[in-house]
Amino acid sequence: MKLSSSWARFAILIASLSTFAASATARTIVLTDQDCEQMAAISADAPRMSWAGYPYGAAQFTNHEFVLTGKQAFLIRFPLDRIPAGQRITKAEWIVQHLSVYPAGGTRLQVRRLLKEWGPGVSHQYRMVRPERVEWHTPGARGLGQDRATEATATATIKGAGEQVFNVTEDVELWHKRAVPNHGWILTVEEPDIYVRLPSPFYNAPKGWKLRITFEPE
Amino acid sequence: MNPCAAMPSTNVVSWRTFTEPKRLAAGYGLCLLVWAVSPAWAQREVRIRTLVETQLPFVTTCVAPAARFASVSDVAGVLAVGHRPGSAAHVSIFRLDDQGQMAAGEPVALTLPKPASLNDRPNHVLGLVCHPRFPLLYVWQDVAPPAQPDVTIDPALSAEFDHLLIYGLDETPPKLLLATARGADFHCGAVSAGFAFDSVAGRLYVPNMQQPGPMKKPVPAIGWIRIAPDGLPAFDDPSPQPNAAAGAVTTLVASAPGSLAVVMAPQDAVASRAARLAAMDVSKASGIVPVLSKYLESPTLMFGDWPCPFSYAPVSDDAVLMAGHAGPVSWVLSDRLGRFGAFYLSPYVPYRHRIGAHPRLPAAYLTFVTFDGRILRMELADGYITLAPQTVSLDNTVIYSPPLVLTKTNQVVVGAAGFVGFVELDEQGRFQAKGQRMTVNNPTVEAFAWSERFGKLYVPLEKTP
Repeated sequence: MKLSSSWARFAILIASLSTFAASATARTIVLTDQDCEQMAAISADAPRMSWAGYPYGAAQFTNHEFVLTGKQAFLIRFPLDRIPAGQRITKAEWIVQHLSVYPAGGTRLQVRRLLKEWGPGVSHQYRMVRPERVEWHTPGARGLGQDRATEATATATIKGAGEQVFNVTEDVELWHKRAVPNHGWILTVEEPDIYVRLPSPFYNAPKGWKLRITFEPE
Repeated sequence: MNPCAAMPSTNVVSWRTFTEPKRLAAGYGLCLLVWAVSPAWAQREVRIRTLVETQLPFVTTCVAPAARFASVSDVAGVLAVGHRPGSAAHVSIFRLDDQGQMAAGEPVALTLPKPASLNDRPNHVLGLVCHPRFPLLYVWQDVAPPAQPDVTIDPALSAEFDHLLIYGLDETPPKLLLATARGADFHCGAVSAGFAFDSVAGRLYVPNMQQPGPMKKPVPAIGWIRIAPDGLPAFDDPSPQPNAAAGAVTTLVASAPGSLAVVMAPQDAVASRAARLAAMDVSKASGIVPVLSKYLESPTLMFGDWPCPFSYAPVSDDAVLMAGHAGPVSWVLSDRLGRFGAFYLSPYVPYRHRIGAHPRLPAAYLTFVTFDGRILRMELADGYITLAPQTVSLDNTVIYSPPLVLTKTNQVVVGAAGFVGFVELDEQGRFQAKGQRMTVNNPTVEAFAWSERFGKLYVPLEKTP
C-alpha cells in the first residue's frame, strides 16, 4: 500500500513537470481588446473623432458597432509584452467577428500594418493630438508606405455574419523581434459600395476582438 | 523500487514534503498563478478588492437627510444641500466658519416657490450649484411627472413655473433674487437632470430644454443659459415693442457671447445685479417679458426623450461631455461633422451614467449609479473621447454619486452604501489599484461637495453617528 502511494506521488509529480515542460516548449496566449488601450474607429465623415464607429443621423456617431466602408477604418494595437523574450512566434491569428456584409455575395477585408505611431486624439485627420498634433501623411492613414504598409498583411472575402481568422504571424514575429515597431493594424475595405458591420468591444462584443499567438523557445 | 527510498527522510523539506498531494496541488496552483500574472500587462482593468478604512482629515460631515445634491460657495462660506423629493425642505443652507467647519446653529431650510396652478404636484430640486466668484446659488427645480406614461403636464398649468431660482447667499436667510426659465422652452415633469457651470461661469448648462420639432411637437434639447459677468442670466433683445419704455430693454441685453465670461469685480457685480433686476421689474411692468439668452440643440437620436441629459461635464469652451441613455456623449461645438459622439457602454444600463471631468487633465470619469462599483476613466482629446477607457472595479460596492476628482489629494471620490470611497490616481489621472474608504452614516451617499478654499470634502449624513 505504501509503495503504491509513493508511486502515485511520483506519477503526479511527473505529470506536473510534464505540463510545465510542455508549456515551456510551446505556448499559446490569447490577447483581446481588453488588453488594448489603442483602438479607434475613424471616418472621413467625422475627420476629428476617434470613435466615429457608426453614423447615427446628422453629425451624430456612436460606437455601439463599427461600420467599414470606403470612408471608415478600424485601428487596433495589441501590446505584445506578454510574450517572453527568446521566443519564436510559430503562429499568430487575428480573429475578427463581423455582423453583416453588403453586398451579400461577399466583401474583401484587408489588414495592414500601421507604420507610424498613433495615440490620443487619433482620427481620420490626425495620428495624435498629444504630445503634439500630427496629421497622417494621407487622411485616414491611407498613405501607402507612409501611414500603412505597402503590402497587405492579409485579405479575406467575408460573407454574412461570423468570424474571420487572419494569419498575422509574420507581423507579430516582426514586432516581437523588434525588427519594426508595433503600431498595430488598420482594418479596411478598399472597394466602393461595400459595407461591413463589426461588433464593438465596448458594447456588444467585449473581449470579442482576439489575437491568438503561439510561440516557442528559439 | 520506491523512488522515495533514496531521498533523505530526515530533512525538514523532504521529497515526501514535495510529493504530499495537497502541497503538490498548492504548489502547482502557485506556479500557475505566478505564470499567469507575471508579465506587466496594460492595466485597462483595475480591481480593488478592499478599500482601506481610513479617517480622512479633510472629510467634514453634516446632518442633511436625503441629500441628493451639494455645492460649496467658497466666497460666501456656505454649503448648500439639495434634498430628494418628499423631504421636508428642498434645500438646506449651512454656514461655514473661517476654518470651513459647520457654524453653530441649525441650517436654513429653503422651500422653492411654484405657482398655485401646480399645487397638486410637488416640486423638487434637480440640481444646484454655487457661483465660483459671487455669493450666488443657482437651483434648478421641476415638478413630479404624471403617473401615467406618455401623459404630459398641461402647458397652461406650468406656464408660470420657474425652473431656475437664483439666491443671494450674502444674506441670512438667502434672498431669492431671480426666478426665471419658464414657459414653452422648458419641459416640465422630469425627475433627473444635469446642471453645471462651465469653468468660467459664463454658461450654465441646464436640463430638459425643448424646442418645436419638425412636426411642431416639442423635442428635447440640450444646451445652456448665458450668464452675464455679474452672475445673473443674460437676456436677448426681444422683438421690438412699439409701446415699450425706451431704454428698459437695452439695459437687460447682454453683450456678445464671447464677452460674457469677463470677470467683474464683486462690488461692481452687486451694483450691476441691482440695476438689472430693477430694470427687469420696470420692463415687466411695461409688459415686456425678458427672453433668456440661451443656446440649445436637439440631437434627438441621442437625446430623444426627457430627462436629458443626466450629467453635464464641461471640459472646455468648445466641448462638453454629457450622460446619455447608454453612456457618455461628447458634444464638440466647433465640429459640424462629428458634433456628437455617443460612447455606448456594456452592459446596457440606461440612464445610470454620471460624469465628472478632471479639472486639469484631459480626462473624465464615469460611474454607473445604483448598479455596481465600476468607475471609468475616459481619455479626451479636443473634447472627443479617445482610445479605450480604463476601468476600476470596487468589489462589493454600489455607487450612488457622480465621480468627483480631488486634485489636492489626486483621488477620485464616489459615494457608496454607507461610505465614501477614494481611488488613488497617478499623474496621468489613471487609476491605481489602491484606495481608501470612510464609513459615514448615510446608506446612499449621493452627494458631496469640495471646497478649494478650505480644502475640505463635505459629506451629508442621514443623522449623527
